[in-house]
Amino acid sequence: MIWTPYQPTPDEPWNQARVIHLFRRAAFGPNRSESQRALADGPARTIDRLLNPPADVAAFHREQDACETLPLPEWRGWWLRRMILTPHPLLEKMTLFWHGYFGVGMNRVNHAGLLLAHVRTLRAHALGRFDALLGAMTRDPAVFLAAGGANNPKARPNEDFARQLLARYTVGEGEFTERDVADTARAFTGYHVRGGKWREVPSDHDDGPKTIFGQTGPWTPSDFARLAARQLATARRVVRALYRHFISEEHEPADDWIEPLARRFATNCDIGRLVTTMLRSRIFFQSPAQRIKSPVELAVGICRTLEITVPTVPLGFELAELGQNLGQPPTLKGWPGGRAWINHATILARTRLAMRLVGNKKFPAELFGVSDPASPEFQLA
Amino acid sequence: MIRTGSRLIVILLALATLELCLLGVLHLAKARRPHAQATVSAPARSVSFDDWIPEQALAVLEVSRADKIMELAFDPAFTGEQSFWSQWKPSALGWTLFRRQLEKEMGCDYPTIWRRLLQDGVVIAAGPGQSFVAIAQASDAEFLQKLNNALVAAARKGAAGKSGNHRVIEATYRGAAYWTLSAGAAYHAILSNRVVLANKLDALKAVLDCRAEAGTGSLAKRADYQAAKRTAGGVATLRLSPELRQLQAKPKGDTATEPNPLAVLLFAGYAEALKANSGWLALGADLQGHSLTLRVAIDCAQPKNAAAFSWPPTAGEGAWPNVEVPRRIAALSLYRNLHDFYAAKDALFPERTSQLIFFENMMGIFFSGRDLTDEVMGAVDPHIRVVVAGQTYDPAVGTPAVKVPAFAVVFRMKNPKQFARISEEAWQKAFGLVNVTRGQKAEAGMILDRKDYAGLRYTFASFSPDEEPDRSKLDIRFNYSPSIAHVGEYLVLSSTTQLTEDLIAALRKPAPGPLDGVNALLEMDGERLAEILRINREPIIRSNMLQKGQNRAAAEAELDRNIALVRFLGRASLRVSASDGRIAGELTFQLRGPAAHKQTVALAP
Amino acid sequence: MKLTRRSFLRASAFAAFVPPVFGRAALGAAARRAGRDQTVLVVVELCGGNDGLNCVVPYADDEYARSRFTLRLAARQVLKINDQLGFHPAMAEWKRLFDEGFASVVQGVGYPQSSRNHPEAVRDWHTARPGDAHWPTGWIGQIADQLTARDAAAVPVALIQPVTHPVALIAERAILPSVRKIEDTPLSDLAPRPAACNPLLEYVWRTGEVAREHERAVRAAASRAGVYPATPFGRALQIAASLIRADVGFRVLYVELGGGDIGGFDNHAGQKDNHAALLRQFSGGVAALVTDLRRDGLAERVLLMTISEFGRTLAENGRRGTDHGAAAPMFLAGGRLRPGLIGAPPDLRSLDNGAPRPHTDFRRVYATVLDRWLGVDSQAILGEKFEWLDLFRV
Repeated sequence: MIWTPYQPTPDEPWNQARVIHLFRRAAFGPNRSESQRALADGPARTIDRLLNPPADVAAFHREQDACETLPLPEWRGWWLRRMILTPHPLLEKMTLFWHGYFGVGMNRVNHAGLLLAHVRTLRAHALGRFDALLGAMTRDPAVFLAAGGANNPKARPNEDFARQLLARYTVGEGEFTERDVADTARAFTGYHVRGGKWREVPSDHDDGPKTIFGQTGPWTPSDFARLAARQLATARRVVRALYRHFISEEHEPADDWIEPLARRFATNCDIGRLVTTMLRSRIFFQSPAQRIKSPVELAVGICRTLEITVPTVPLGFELAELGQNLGQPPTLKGWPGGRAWINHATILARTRLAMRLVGNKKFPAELFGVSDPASPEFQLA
Repeated sequence: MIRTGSRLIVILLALATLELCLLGVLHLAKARRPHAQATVSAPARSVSFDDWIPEQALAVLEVSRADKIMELAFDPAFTGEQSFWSQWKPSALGWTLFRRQLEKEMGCDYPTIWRRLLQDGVVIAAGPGQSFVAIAQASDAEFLQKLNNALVAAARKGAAGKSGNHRVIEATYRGAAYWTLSAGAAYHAILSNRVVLANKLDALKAVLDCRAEAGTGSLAKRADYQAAKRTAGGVATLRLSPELRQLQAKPKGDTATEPNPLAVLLFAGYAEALKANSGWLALGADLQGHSLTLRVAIDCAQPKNAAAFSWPPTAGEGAWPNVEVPRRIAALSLYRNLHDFYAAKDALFPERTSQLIFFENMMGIFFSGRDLTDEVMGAVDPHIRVVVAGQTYDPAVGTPAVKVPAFAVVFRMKNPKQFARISEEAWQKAFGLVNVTRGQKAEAGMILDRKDYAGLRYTFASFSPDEEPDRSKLDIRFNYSPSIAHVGEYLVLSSTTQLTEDLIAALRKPAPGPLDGVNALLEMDGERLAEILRINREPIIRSNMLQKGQNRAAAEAELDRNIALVRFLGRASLRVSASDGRIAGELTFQLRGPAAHKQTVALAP
Repeated sequence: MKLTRRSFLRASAFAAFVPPVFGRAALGAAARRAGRDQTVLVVVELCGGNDGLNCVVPYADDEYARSRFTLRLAARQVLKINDQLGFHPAMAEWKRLFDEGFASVVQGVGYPQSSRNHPEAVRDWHTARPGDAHWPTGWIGQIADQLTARDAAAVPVALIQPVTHPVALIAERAILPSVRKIEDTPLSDLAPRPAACNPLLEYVWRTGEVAREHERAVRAAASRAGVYPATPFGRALQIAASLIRADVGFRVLYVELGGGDIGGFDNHAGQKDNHAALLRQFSGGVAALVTDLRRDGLAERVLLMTISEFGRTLAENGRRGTDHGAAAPMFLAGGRLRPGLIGAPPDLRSLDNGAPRPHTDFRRVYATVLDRWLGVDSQAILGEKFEWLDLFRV
């Protein structure tokens, strides 16, 4: 009942404002042709197109993957370029979301190549199955390094690492016991990161029975991923995070809003369906201007709506100065977002960046829903 | 004021270069036709305008072969739809009608009008307060009078319909009549067969004053200007006013970055010269056959202060000719006294950057604590040569995805027996450290080995391709096989073994004598450079797309333009030398005509 | 990588609560009043590991003379503090501050089992959690998080000049600006916000208003700048002085000397001239800052503190340089210090692997500064309680 889909009515018509709202949240903002087609197609078809664009997305990503280079500033530039040019912006937004969710960054990883591979893995699963995503994370050397899991010897199971996995990535604080921590650590013994590669050392693995989330068995990291993905607590955390990302950063949703989505997500682990439900809902369309654009959304949004490409390597540095350093979230908690993006230093810098990107071009107020890039409204999403 | 000055210089330099490039292009265009190859060097008739140019002029450009430029400007091959010029042609209907009318009145076509107008030469001078004057000497006074009447009449007719901007004013000053056809945007005066055009009335009056007073207060009376003109060959002379000179001496504002020691090593001698010079900078140009030469001369003596390390102290001394190796792309020969350079480091770069400290720490380790200034920098003599050459790749080893040319530095050791051993030890320590550092980052290391070539043993380090999956797209590190060789009294540090061996062969030839007074000689082969760009096409395009945000088509077009330009410029050489209280730089291009482009120089078999 | 600018503002609790109906002028005044009581900490990082023994020189000690052949500073060269110790001859301006009571030195600072490896030691000093390779935030970043917990719009910490953020400034929530120069082209004023009931928009609008006002204040302060040496360090301190004078809510300013990375103080070879040049820069810059602040009566509100990842060995290493050590002095400057030398000079006869042992944990200095100078909870930042040192005048 809470998540009933939005249907256009005379009181809540499908108009330009709602088109802009949808594209700002589900993509980075509409350009002219997208806006016109969306008005004609209506909300359901537009959301379908955003989830499954008709273009050859695979070919686009193959081409981008071939161009991608290191070191970090160039990689950041390639990712921003990919976001600006992609036919599937919702996928890039979700990749960015997961990047913040797992909070894996160069501060702790140190090998830019591992970070590149990590983000590609995120992209592959971003709108897919959450259990597959979590499973991939339990085999990702970047995640191990970031969360302190480089070494997991049998003699001394790495409980710090296990604690991070439970508190940061799955069920969350207060939802696990010390037994869970100890046995999760044992499940990961024998899996190390050596020379930048994830390695399995069977002799160092404790293959005895472990009890995690009340279930006993000879668990390995992939079992942990499977179990954790199906925990209701994990599902609630993911749903809340997605609520914050897509719907509102100001309003804390009530438990009975989250519960139905969480139950379904815990069963089917389908990220795409979860996102679709949220985007289709009336709640979604009733919540414009409830988020602050992240620096990436601000810049990429302008580029996509104005249909320009800019040198993205310097842009990467500027966005880092605004607080969003792609590839280097401040901690494992990712970017806090919301009001934290706006302080007395960043507000003026963001305004200057927006004005510089718009430059002398005519500002299409009808595509931004705002008359002036220097206005405070422009900072909201 | 100061920024204006530098803008002026840039404009005039651009104009001068444009003129000369045009001359070059014109010449090549002519080469396609069955005419005899004319050499365009000294003007046939040299008309001097010096006595009309006020001495406050900041910069003066004499265009002595304006007729040739006009010929070029109206050559159909160059004025067609897609040409360089077509973007500047006004396309309004009104303009076409006006042109037709003018041609009818003058009795000849439009290109001829221009040719006759500028027949005996034109000079452009820039003055303070953003003022410009141009003085041209036409074919005859009658033609000029007729042209002027036609223009004034047309302007009056046009102004009759509108008001304000197009008012025509006629007046006289010191016996000369002058007009403005655009209510003060520009003024011109006709004096028998000369026309003077100025953008400010004061500037026009200053010229007329000089003329009326038979050259008093003009540049004809300035000995320093005349001297500078003579040194350059008289095509263009630029004056550096004292304010501009002071600007160069000051660091650039508050955000001055710390001086880069390498930049100081290369350019300190020239920066000092610019600070100390007498005030005139002379530009000259020459076109002989396919060879285009641009000359810059500064009137000043070699600096004796901290920057003295970069000049030969006595006559007969100087940099050596560059080393010749196969597939050579560029070569630089320097005369730099490293011992004096490093001894003066407090004066030259007082900032202790972390890079400098790191360098000293490393050199301390490699050279086992020997004094850097006396025992290391002082162990080589001032003749330093750098060479960059294309490399060929052994299919058994593999080809890297990005192909980097080989490069090497050649020093001459003062005490070969002793320093050969010291430098060998330092080199081995350095690459051992590189290996350890790479190992810490889990990257592949190099194997150090020695090998023989032409009776000489040398040491090198190389990467092994054994574990690489794709031998046709290897990592960039496979471009490098660093090596060190001692060829008699020469110390060779090279990035590949192939270049080392080529240098061993080249250095065994008899030693060349120094080039008197030369402290830098840079030579580049445009064709070979174009080849490097060509074989690295894909990485360059991708980098362009990323760094400039362009799409693929624009990136490809930019690369193709650059390759075409580099090929056109052909062989280039830059020689900087000092003699008789003058420092001169000479930039020569051996331009390649269109036919020459058909041959491509292959760098790989 | 040339990003410019920044604006500043003020960390005032008032600014968050004043309703827009009061207008701009009232906002600014309230904020300014609160600011007057706030103290500022300027942290100067001496990158590379400063050789404390040649800064505070035990010139009368035989052990010192015997261990350093080329780097030794003799009695007649040093600027004498007492009959045992003297400052490096390049630190003349620092000595003047010291004699006038505006500078002090905490001797023998380090930590137990200190690391002598650059990245690890830097991480230890910056996170204040030695040995913990995974501690995510820096101690100054945590200060920022604490101070912005009440007011998300505040910016209490800024980095001056370099581009890369040091580990010390990694914060979980707060976004801290790099100030490379004072922005001199103002943004146009905001249109007054039409009445609407979106608190988020309200927040953004109000933040923009205050930010513009702060930028104006900083520009005005910059025009009254004093005379500073024409070195990058001098220019950085000049910017710091402008930010302090503008009184817009900065509590901590961070400056690097030595260029980051391995750092200009890491002299393994040819130390004499390089170290002297850096000390001259340091000394001149700090003296200029204190003079400038005293002129405006601000010196009592400012404390400058140096940190360096480790000291250096007692003996020379044969390359006319010194290697990584442990104990080193921390230099303090400001208007409310207990002047002079604090703590005993390091014992040159009881060395640990060639370097003097530290007797004061650097976290005690941090704790003193956090609790007594900045008024921020040190235990939350350092993880445990550390005993204070007596650094300040009453």
